[in-house]
Amino acid sequence: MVTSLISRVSLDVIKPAAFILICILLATNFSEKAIYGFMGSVFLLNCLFVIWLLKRLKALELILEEKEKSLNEALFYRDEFLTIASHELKTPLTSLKLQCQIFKRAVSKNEKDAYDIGRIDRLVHQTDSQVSRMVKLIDDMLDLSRIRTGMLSITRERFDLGELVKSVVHEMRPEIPIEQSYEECPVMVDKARIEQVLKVLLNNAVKYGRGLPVTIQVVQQDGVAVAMLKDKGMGIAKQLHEKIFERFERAVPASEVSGLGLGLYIAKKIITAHAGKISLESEIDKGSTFTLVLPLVER
Amino acid sequence: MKGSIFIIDDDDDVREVLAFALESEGFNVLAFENGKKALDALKETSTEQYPGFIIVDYLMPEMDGVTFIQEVKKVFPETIGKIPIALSSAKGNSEENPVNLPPEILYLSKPMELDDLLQLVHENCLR
Repeated sequence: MVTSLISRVSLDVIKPAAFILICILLATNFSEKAIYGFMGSVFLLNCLFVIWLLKRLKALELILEEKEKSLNEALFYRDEFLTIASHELKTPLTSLKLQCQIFKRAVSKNEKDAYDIGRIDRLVHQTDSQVSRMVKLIDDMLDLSRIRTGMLSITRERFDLGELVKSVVHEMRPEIPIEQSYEECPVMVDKARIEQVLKVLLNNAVKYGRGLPVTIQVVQQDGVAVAMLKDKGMGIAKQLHEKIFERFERAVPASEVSGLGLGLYIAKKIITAHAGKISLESEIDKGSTFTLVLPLVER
Repeated sequence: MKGSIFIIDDDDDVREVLAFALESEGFNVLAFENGKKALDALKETSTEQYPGFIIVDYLMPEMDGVTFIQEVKKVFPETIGKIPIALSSAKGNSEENPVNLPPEILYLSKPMELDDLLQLVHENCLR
């Protein structure tokens, strides 16, 4: 790129210079003074040109350095993501594979309880749960790709945010007490996507909530619908409040919890696509409150 | 009854299925969700009750597999430190060991074959 620039600029300079030199030589009848004068000017111009070129090269070098840095960063994130993703997919695969092989072995050895109904029931339930876990991981990876390419589609319909939250709590049946209060909040949202966000938040509240009760409130406030999920868990340090909504970020090291570290990133993108906001208030050891704000629609 | 085995893994399902596979073979299995809980249990266990084999996961909260192995070698160099230990991990591929382990530490790549798991345990379990 730089070489082609130099040769292009050099040609642009040499051509008119040669033309001017011939004109001067003809006009001054080949006077020595005129020739020296012209050579001096050409030398000066060349010096200026070299200075300009060096400045331009420096600027290009900085741009290249910046590009190289962001490329290396992207490669680092890609490698990191592939490591985490393969680890996360291999964990449910371990259970699935062993379950299948244990069953196969029992059948081939003609064990008397190979077809025991309780054993088969447990096998089917565990298989179903492992497959769901893998589907969720793959969905998150696909969402990441959709977000990157701007293909995250939102199909809005009118729903009551309180009812949506209630149905998610009912479906997830968390093993911790949930204190709930709901106000009617009509919103225009993509039901599946908002449920996805609520599941991420509730799941996090359970995962990091140290088994303590979680409070969920859905209210109308200043003309918007607000859903708040408050846990009494380990809390998140202030410097991480913005960061945890970024890709592959989490409040604790990857070895401490399972998952791809994409949940809150995808949640934020979904809420932003609904013209809403998601925020966090938290302090270490004082729990976390995630707040969703969505525009209300007229009754 | 064959010897007893410690299984240390933070994933409930993996723990359950590993325990089921080994109990079906007649082993007595005790399962723990992280290295710290297993180490605490070992400190409370009498010498006669020590496991004959330990399977420990690599990535876990509280105390990971590698730290667990280092602690065991440090705290009980002559007793539990001599028990065969297999580090299981979903981090590397099946041929690759993701960490530089001492040669006496065995390696189980997740997802493992049931036959490989049983062979490893049968060949190495002390009691």
